[in-house]
Amino acid sequence: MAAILEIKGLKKYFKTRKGTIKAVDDVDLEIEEGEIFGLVGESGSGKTTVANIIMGLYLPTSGEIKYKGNNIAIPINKRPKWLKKEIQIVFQNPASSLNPKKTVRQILEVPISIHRPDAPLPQTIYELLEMVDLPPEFIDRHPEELGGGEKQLVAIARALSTEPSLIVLDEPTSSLDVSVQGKIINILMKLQKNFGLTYIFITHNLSLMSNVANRVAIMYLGKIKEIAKSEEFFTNSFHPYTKMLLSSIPVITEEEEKLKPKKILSTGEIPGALKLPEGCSFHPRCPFVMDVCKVKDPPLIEVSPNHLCSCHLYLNKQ
Amino acid sequence: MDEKVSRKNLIKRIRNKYGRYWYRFKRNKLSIVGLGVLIALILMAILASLITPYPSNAGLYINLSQENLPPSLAHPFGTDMLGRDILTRIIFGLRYSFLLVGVVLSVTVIPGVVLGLIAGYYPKRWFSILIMRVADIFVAVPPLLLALSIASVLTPNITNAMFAVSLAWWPWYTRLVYTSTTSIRNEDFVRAAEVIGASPSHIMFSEIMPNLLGTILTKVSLDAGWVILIGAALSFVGLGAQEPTPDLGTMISEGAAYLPQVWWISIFPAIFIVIIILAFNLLGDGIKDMFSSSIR
Repeated sequence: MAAILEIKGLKKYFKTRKGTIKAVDDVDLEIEEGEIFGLVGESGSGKTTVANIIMGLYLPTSGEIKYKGNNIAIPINKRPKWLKKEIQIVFQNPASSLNPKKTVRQILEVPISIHRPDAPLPQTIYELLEMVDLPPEFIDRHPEELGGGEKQLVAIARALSTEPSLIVLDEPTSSLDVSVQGKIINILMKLQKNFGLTYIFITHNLSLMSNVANRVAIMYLGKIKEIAKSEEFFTNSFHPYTKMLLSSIPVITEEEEKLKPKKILSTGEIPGALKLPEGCSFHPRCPFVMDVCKVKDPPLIEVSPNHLCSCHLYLNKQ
Repeated sequence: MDEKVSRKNLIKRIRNKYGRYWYRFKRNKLSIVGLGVLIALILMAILASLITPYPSNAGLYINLSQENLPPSLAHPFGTDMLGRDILTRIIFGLRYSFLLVGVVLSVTVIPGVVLGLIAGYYPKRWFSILIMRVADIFVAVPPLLLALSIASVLTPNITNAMFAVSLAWWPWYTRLVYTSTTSIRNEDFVRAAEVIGASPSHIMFSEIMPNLLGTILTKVSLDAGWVILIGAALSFVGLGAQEPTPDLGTMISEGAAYLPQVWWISIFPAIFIVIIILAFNLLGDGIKDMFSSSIR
């Protein structure tokens, strides 16, 4: 399969009065057409920054980012129209991503009239509402008259309205009630299948990720620590950080317990982004820490086919 | 069929929406009072020539046999030094007060808001910095002082007074809108509009501005009282409306010479100025309640 999005050596540093924050530090990713690519990490790991760079809301400090071979390290207001049509985003909080003063009709009309001037209105809006399982009478409601899940469905309909190929889902369910999360995920999965969409699915919820993603990358303090196919990521992970997070997922049955990696106690917290640890940024929390970890940052290498990991434990095996 | 249903829905929703605004507004009894008083005063001003007892007294009219008469049944507010009925002149004077408010606010609010939106949406561009620095210069001088100094270099008349007050007024709107725009600009819904490819003018006027409408209208209403006060101050020092135009500020200034014995020439116009300002302030509070979604 062809790569739809290629990211090479991507860096995003924020200069603040107290120093430089390395929000994204040397990230390489290749997202294939039609896949659901999961990006996980704790808060502050740089996931959303990556999403914002893909959307053109931030410019990268350095590095390459290409969509179907075209450089897209361009701010959103300078991007060509076709590119805006191709890549869409669903934000985390639907309460702030929908204009409180507008009706669903007004919200969906704008992107349709910009990118599909020939599409009939309001039929296209009704079609969009149907795609996301919302009743047609919602068309003249204001966001404040909708529930959190319904708002997010409107935001998803807005992302679909330009007929994009790639949708960035930035924690699309984490601000919602558990009872509606499942419904939203099902609709997203259905849409992905029906339209052959590519998703970049960002979340910190690992059990959700294991159900939706084809491939998963894990980020820690701006760096990718491990990338693998979903099945392998959740059953046979390499990196101690991945193992630590996976072993902290609460499970109910014993079968599930057996699937989990050997228990690694989660210790410490993610250090402040202002002063990153020397060497491997995970070493202060790592139970297998070695001397080399404290001085040298391990590169991301292919440990087994299609399974990349950045850890000194696996460097020697090569 | 769908379209018909949805149109019906829309009408119902619009009615609900405005019904809700009205509900929030009328919960505050004082704002109803403010609104009622203003409507009454505006009607009086419009119908002045029909309802006043001595319409001819509004203009050039002298009847020295009637000079300085105290309040009585024939002249409820008394007469002035030229024998003119004060009630009549106050009601005609309302016209100039409302005209001043209408002209000054319609001339200042729109450019002020547009400049603020532009500067807030492009906060780092040179033209935004220029707009805001110029606004700062105007804001640094108290509006009364600025209006006075502008009016004093021009020929004293109503048009120039309006011009002077307008020039002192626009930067306050620019600053208000600028501040709100810079914060709303970072909301996700603005970023979403950028992502779908909406034009900057669509984002400024269609996405951001509707969210500022409540703040702007509240300020317009609160400012209306201030504009009247400043207009009256200009007239008082002789830089506004000129004799024989019946202007509240001019009337106060003329009567000041006869205080304290002939108090009615100054006091009644002054009371009316206070009433107008108070009514605009109460209305402003009501508008603020109307748009604050936190209290439902």
